[in-house]
Amino acid sequence: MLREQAEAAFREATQLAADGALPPALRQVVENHARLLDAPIRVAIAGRIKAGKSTLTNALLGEELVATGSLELTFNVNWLRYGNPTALTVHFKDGQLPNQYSLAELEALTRRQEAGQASDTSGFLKNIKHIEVVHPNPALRIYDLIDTPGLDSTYQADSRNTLDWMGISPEEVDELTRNEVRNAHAVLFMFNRGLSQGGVDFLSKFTGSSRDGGSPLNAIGVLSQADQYWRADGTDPSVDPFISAERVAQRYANDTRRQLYTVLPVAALLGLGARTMTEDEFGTLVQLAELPQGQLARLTSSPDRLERPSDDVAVPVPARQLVARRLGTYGVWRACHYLREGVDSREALRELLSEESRIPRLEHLLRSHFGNRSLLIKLDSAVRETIAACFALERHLAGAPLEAVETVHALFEDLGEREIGFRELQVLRDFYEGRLSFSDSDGVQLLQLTGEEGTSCASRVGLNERAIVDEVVEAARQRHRYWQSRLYSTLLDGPTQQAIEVMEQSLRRIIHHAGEARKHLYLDV
Amino acid sequence: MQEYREQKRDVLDLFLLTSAFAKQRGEQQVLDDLERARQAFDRGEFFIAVCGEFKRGKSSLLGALLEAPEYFPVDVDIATNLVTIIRYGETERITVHLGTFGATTPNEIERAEISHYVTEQGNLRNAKQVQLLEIEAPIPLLQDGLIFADTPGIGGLNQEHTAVTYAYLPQADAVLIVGDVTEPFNTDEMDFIRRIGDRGANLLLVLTRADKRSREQVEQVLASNQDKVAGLLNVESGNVPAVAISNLHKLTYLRSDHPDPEDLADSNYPAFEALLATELLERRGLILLGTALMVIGRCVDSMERPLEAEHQAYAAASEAEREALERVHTVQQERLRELQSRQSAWRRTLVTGIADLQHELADTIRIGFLDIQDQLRVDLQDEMLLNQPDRYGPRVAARVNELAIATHDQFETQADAVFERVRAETGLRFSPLGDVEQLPEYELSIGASRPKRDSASRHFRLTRDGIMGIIPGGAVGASIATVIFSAATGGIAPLAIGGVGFAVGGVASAVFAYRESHQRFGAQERHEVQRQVNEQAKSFLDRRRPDLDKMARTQVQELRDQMTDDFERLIEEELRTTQASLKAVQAARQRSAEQARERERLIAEPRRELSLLRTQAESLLARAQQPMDTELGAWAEES
Repeated sequence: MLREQAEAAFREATQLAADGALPPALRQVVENHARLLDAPIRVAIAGRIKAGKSTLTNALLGEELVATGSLELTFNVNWLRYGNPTALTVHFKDGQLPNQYSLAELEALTRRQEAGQASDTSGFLKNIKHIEVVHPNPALRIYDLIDTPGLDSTYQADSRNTLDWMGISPEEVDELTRNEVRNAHAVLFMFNRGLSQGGVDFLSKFTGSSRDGGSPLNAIGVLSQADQYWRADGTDPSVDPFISAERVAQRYANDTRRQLYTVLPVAALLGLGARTMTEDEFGTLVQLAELPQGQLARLTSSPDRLERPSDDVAVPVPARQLVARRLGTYGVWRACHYLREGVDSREALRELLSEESRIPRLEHLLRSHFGNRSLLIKLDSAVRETIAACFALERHLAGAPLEAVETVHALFEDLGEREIGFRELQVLRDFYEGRLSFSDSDGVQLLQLTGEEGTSCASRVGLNERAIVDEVVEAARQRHRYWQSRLYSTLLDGPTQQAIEVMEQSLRRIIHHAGEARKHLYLDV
Repeated sequence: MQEYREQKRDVLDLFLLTSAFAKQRGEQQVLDDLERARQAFDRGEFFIAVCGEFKRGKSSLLGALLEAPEYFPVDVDIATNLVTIIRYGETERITVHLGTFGATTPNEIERAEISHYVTEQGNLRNAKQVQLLEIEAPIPLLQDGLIFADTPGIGGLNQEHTAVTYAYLPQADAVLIVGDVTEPFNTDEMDFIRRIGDRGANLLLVLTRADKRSREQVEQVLASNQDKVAGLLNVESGNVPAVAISNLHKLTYLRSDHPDPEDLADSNYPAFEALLATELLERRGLILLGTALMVIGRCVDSMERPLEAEHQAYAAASEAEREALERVHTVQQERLRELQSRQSAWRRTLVTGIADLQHELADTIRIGFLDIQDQLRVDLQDEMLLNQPDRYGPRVAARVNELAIATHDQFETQADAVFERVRAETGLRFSPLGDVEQLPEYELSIGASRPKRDSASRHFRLTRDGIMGIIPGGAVGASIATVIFSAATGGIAPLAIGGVGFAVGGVASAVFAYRESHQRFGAQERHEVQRQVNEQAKSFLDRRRPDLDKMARTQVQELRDQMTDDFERLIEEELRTTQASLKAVQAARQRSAEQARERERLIAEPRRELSLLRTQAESLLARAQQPMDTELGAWAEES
């Protein structure tokens, strides 16, 4: 439904464009968005320097694709998307034609030259706009990942690269930037200590209207390096660092509830290390697990100690060094704990450590929050930006060009207002921004209805995907009655009133669709 | 601090010796001067400001360094918006100051209650309005007069915090910049370092959480930060003292029933302490020791000169030589009497210098306020700020605070310059001990940079305080901090800009049906925000400006009175010594050869003793000027 209507609107607009009736700026906006309709949702990973963006990228992919290190490393925007075979294309700022490289060259292209950047004499690296990596990784089927350089980096060019690429100019926002398509649909905003003013500003700009602080619809917060809380201030090693991490994350979530959907603590290095653990590494961990508890606690109190040659530890230094780097000291400690508890296979250990890292939870969240709504989120930005572009152009046009722009304007405005999906999205925004007088269970119903748990009719009324049609219809009816009864209650504020209308209308549609489905299934004509 | 402790003990001993001698000679004036200086020297404090971004582990660092973690509650979520000051006290006393800046009330609390005030758990978003936590405790490490101020995080969400931190910097003898090894310095931190680097304070980079990275990575980040800071301050990378430490290892060491030396070594705290001591002694330690020795030197000098003059009279080969000697002292006496007169030239130099200073400060303030208005104009075009109008208040307040500090700095530098010009006019020299650098006049010219650190040779510079024998006393709580706090108060309360944000938001949301990616206000709403902010900022600035003018005027007037008194006292002292010397020469000329021999024998012993005292003072000064011999640990890097 939504898709057909959207496609129709785009078809008409691109037809106008093809006839040469549209100004180039608007034509570009329309064409870009039309192209994006079928592509996976684009998720940018942003945050301050050393927030762990590249490590998280790798953890989500389950392989070490982008370079990581202890200094500010990521120099360019890396855009990772699905495709086979693996290919790497460099896009330049100065309009030079894109160039192909091998994947092995990615690190050299991305990394800042450590010795004074002397080797980039030609300004080659600085001229890179972004690097496109096509790779057959299953995660990339659901979303494109965009790994960005850090904000607030002392290397000014880095921050600039990120902002440019995301269509945010640090200067006064110019009329024309409205016409630019934002390259990312959603953002994973990472921080490891706290939110800086720069971070908040960035979020406000990215998430759209900065007037009300943006919307959490397309932004998820990630508190990275959750294992940093392990043994913080000398606490006992058996204390779970995620207890502290959850507490800190919760506070940031409260502080940013108008910008971020939620804040989730993760240990990305552990997640990556767990998913890619080799037999050799497993062997090293088994050996380490045999050490007395006290000695192990001592050994894992710093990477330096774990890597230091010592007579009383039989495990060779290079092997220890490897597990320290791949899992972190907390990961080594937890691995040994599980092994001592009787875990005996590499697969089982990988599974346990991976869970521990909370990366699977983040993936689930990405799928439910972004993935299930990807079409809506993409269309939402298409509609908003196309209308914005029309607004900007209409002031300067007259005659036939003005009419063409007005046609497009009307098309998309219609789409935005008529289509129930957008209205649901608006309700969702209002909900996130705390404008609705909704109870907790009202909120759950809203989230389910808008696809948090899946886009099938069953999921949207809070049932398992395998529910039979009658169950779906019954559940939808029940909910529909509830919302219908609220429809006529007076003394409600505008947004809540509208939200109730949308809920009622959407549920009515579900009942209708499910009824149709029953007809077709059971030939109950 | 071991080295300083020894030198301090030696200087205190020399005070006792000199006093004993003065008492024996019945020199009451000298005795009083010595006692006053000795007490001030004994109280001499070192003030260390601990600065850094939020969540860098500043508090745990202090707990681990002072080996008193009980005063720094363990929590991953420590409130970053208050200042903690910790100093030595015979008995424990903990005070929290509650309220708004400039209007706080002190409350004494128990040690166990600290966490109710400093952690986010006990005091969510500082609902209790804690501004300052003061701790006095019998902590051995503080016994040498070390005072630490744990400042609010810089560069966080609230610009006021940064302004409060700045307020403590004018008094700091050393500034610890706390970062951590998991993250190289970012733009906020570098910006902060650039600004305080200009102030000439001794910086020490301390990177926490060394236990979170491998040695190789720790060294990489340490070197990278040093390079960045060196580039910024235009010094050699090796001249930026930096150290990486582990609070975890130090706290493990402290808490263990059987402390393991490896934990202490891996914490790298010994190296950190040594480095901190070096930084402190290089400047503040030298000033304290040098000034104390200068007082001793002056006292010795005033007792020694008449005796030496008398001895010269006896040693003279002829009557003509003796007469010449008397004439030297007579001329000097005349000159000093002339300096005492109302018409003496130095008084005019002083008055003109002070008047110039007053004008220049007034200019700085005037231009400063114009700049603030200019910056506000730029800010009022800033789309993002317009959307968050409640940020204007703190921004403007922070700039006023920075201007107050800049004005204070200018005052200090130029006061020294005026003093030096007046001293040159009197033709007096005030360095009774050898190997002391007179502060050259050109270095004091307006806007000149402060001397760069030079670890190879240290010189005790004879500044205003040094010459006057004024031992710089308790640093914290000086007038500047008071000014800042009251300025900050004005910034928050009267600029009640939250209302503006609310009103504007309401208008705008009615106008726009869609949230566009780069949402902007309509011209009208925009104009309304600009108007309201402008109006409130103007009324705020109009109220702050007289405060700053008054601060400058008061400081300058106090300086004029103080400087006049100081010079009159110095001239009088000098005159007294000269008159005593003249009298001694005249008396010597009256004596027969027999009497002269008898007198020579009599004064030989006191002359020897005085010369010994002088030699001791000089050698102690020379020792204080030696660079410290410090053992550095593996991760400490120093030129």
